[in-house]
Amino acid sequence: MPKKREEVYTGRRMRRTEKPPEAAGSVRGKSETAGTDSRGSGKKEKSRLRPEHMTDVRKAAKQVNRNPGQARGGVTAVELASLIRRKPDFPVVLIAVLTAVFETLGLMLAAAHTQQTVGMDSVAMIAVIVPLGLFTSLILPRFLRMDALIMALTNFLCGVGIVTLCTVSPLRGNRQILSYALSLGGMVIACLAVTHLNRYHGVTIFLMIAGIGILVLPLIYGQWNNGAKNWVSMPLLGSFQPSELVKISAVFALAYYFSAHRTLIQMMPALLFSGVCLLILMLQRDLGTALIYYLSTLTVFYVACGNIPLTMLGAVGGVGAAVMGYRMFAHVKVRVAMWRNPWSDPTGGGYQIIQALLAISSGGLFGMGLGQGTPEKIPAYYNDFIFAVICEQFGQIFGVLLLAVYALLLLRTVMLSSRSRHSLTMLLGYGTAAMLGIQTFMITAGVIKLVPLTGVTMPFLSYGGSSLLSCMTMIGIVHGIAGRAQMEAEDGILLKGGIRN
Amino acid sequence: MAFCLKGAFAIKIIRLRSRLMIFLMLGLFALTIAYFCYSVYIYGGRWVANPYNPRINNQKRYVKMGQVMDRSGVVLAYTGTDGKRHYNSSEKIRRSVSQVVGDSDGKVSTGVDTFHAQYLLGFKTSLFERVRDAVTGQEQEGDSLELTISSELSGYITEQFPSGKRGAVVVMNYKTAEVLAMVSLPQFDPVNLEAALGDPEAGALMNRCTQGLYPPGSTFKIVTMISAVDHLSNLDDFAFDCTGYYPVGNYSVTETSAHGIQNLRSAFANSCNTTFAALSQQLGYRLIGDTAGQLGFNENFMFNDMIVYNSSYPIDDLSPEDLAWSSIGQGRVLATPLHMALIACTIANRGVFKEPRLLHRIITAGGSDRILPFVAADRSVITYTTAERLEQDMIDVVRNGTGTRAALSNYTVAGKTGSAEVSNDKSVDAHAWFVGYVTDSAAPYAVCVLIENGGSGGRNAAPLARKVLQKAIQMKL
Amino acid sequence: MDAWYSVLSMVFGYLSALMILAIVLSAMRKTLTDHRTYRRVAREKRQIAYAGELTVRTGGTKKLAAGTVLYIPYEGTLGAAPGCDVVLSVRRLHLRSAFFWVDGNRMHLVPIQRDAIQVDGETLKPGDEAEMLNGAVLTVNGIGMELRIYEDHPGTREKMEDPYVTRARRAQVHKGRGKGIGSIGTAGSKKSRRQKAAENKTQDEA
Repeated sequence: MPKKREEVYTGRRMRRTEKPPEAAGSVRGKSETAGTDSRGSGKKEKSRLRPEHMTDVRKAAKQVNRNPGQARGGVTAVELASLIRRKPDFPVVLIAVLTAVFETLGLMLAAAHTQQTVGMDSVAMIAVIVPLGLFTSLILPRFLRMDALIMALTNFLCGVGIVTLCTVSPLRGNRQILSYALSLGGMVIACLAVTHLNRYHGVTIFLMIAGIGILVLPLIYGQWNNGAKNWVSMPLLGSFQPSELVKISAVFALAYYFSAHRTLIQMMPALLFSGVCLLILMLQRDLGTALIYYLSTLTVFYVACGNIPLTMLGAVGGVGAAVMGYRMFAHVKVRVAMWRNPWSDPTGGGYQIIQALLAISSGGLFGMGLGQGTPEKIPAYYNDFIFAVICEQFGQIFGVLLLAVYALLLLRTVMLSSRSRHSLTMLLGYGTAAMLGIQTFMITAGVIKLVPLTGVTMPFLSYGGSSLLSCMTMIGIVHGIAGRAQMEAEDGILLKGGIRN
Repeated sequence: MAFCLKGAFAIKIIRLRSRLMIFLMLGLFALTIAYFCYSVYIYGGRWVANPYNPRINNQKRYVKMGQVMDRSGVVLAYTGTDGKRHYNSSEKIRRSVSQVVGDSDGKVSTGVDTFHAQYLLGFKTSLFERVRDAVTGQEQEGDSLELTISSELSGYITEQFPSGKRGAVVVMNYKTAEVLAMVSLPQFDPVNLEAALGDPEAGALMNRCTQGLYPPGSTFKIVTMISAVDHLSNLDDFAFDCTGYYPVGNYSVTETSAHGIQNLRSAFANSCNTTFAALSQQLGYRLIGDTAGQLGFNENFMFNDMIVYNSSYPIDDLSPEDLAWSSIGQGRVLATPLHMALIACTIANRGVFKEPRLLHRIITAGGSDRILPFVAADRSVITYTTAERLEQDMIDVVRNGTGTRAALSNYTVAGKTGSAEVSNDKSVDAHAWFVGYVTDSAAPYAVCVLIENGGSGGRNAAPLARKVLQKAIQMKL
Repeated sequence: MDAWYSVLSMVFGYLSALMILAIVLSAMRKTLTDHRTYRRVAREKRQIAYAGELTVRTGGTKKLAAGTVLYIPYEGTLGAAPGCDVVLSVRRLHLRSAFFWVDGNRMHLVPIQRDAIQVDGETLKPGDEAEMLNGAVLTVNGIGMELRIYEDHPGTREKMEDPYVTRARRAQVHKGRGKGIGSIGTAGSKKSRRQKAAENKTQDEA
């Protein structure tokens, strides 16, 4: 591995004496030939070219079209413009409108259902959520470089979660709405950060140190809850689960240290960080989250470096750790036994999964109806088992399609991050997708008894401020990556002087 | 090996690996969705009806539970204006259908009141019906169920059953696979459930027809016979000299008396243990196991209309004596009376196995019929010729063999008797079995009689079977 | 009231199934068309996906005839293996011969194997980093290629942290605080894109 000081060699700089023929169509060329008053009209031209104003496809297409020699080889100006347009197109508008309708009707039904206990609060909440959703899906993309489709799908998922929670547990529903609003702020911050940040070293180091610091908090201040000691009670915000937020640190650490031409030794900080997090989580007995961290580290490692032997080594180590965990922890043994045959202990260990299965099957294809059924019988129904509650109330078809929404979200994330120019942003996107995807799979498969239960929540649907905040922030990262790609495309199409081939 | 870790990554390959990653993750999601659909489709109905499901009880607050009737319309259970569940006024009828109808609290988890609560409590009402109920202001009412059983036949069976004995009698129509009677003794009175709960040893709440697993005894020779017919050749030349005992391994299979030289049919008619023990050595446990599996042993019965426990035939490597005893229905072989009746139906249908039905009609609160749930398609499990041959053998049993007491005057009965030993103690009687059917297609009735500790099948079970078949023919069910 | 509520909730159940189906289908459609558009645009207008190109000028082989254009992404590897980002199917070239990244208007190249790599005539040893501007000539095992970077004005936005990381380099950059190679400081990073575009324009006109 080269370690000596690099020599810098500078190549010749070619002086361009003539403009390449395509430059006749370049934007700058246009402004020069437009009129004698080059400065003045140049300014005007430039102001029309500012991508912040490129909200209309037609306007952008016109700009691009004015340059002859453009639409070549089957790529129309409209298509070019569609890469940089800010105004959301029809599918996104459809999704946003359907979400708004869904939330409105759902919350009205929720209000009608719970009128004995909380009053007409839920109707008031419509006025909060629906505008937020519409704003972030339809209007915000015009000002902030982000991906409108992911925003719309995320809003829909959060909307489903909120409607369900408001029906079965109105107090929690209201708190969820508050968390939703706050998390949107977190998402915007993350989006801006990733779009404009160029140097990640400082940020990553800070996040890693802060992550470990926060992760250790429950060991010192936390209380035991359900066999895991992974939450802390904060004075204002209530209970707070740091392992969710540290996911963001992990994503950044993995992306930074696995990207861009590194040797194994240089990758070590990320692996060490991951290892330390795993250790702390094991101490906290939060084995589900530990499994998520481990699997995503493994995935990002493989994607980044593709070294099969090392990946296999990691996998074998993980399996070994799982077996050890099974031997060491009694509650893991119980969980596996209950996964195999929950009916052997229907009122004790198997109660949760049995009630979940009964709830899902009682829903039938189209659900028992919002507010019907008895979801409260499932322990943690607002949290880990929200999927079972949704299947009960909305039906199995809805549940299956909900999983399809998650899958589409992940697919779009990976596709967008594949467009990045640098491996760091690519790995940020992949890491986010891995974390969200693995978590969703683990909890859904646990609820339907495909794999043993682990104590993780469903992203976007579960009640829990820290869970929602961390998921939205990760989506913010994805928006940032998409925004970067959009910025680069704008450069390529507009600022670089038109399209040269 | 540490090739790429020299510090050079190709973006192209990272993209490719990311495609692999997303492909795997989507595969995981697809697996989840597939498993979800599968488990809900197969087990969904059972889970809804599970007694731990609080929604069933919850629904009773809003919906009036529908009626349960027998095939002639006799009301077996209904919800009165006081909101409580009431049963037939005649105690005899109440008791004879007690396990089939069950109770509405889930104590009898396989009873119709619990198992089919989705219909009775209106889970299947359509939107249109709900709108109509809402508009007319009517109380929401669940569907009523018309069962295939006949309360009169069930009452008759209860009367004729040897008093003081426990057991089960199953009567089926083999053309339609409808269960005409499922009587399990001892019985309980749903009006007085506490008495039955206070005596768990009696097991009155258990439906012995579908949940009672007993060694089938000589009735299992039907299976062994089918196996021999299917897998052995030159059966016409088969001759066996029964001397009363047949040494197998370190033990010997005994017979009450020596039958002398017999061919296969006479051995079957006389229910000769030694012949079949010898046959089993020739066939081997794998071939007999295959046939048993085809006929439903070791199969997880997921019938739509009722819960039937699985019958078992051991298929691990049996020692020769285990093999011999299993082939005559002793040892670890277990079967439910309903399953044996299904085997009789299969032979009557020339090898076609049909799923048994308990629901005759589902009548909505508005009076129209609802479509019955789909059952598994009929499947052919043994060949036509084999079934034909078995029928002749079974006719011979009733005509010349151990089952003569089951013969009817105007109809041909085919059957097989069985006396299943249950204890080495000679004072404990064997279980008495009779499995058979009426061959005439005008009277397509199959029956299975089991009398716990009833003694000899031919002497005690066969006469009961005759009476039951006679009654069924008379009632023209 | 209860009866009507159950009717309404049933209707809502059907409606929500329909709605989510519409959402899934339209999201699928958008993802697909977006992907297809991007692929087509990236193939036709190389600026979007690639940073520049290398044109073979001298010493072309049968596979790499003179005039062949190789497109360069913003970072990657160069070598003979088909998995490399810039594939030079030349005999006697290591599978993974060098790696590079494009930063603004220059391409940094670092060989990692002992191949005959020269930039503008000067030989590079494994570990040396070369900065190539627009027009530089890269010679690999006898094949001469001319570099052309699409984005050819200095001080543009593309100042991502350098992917080639050694302790020495990092120390140099951080110490320099703006004087290091390829850091934001050289161009005065606080300028907005508008200003930079103006600069480009004035520079061009000059």
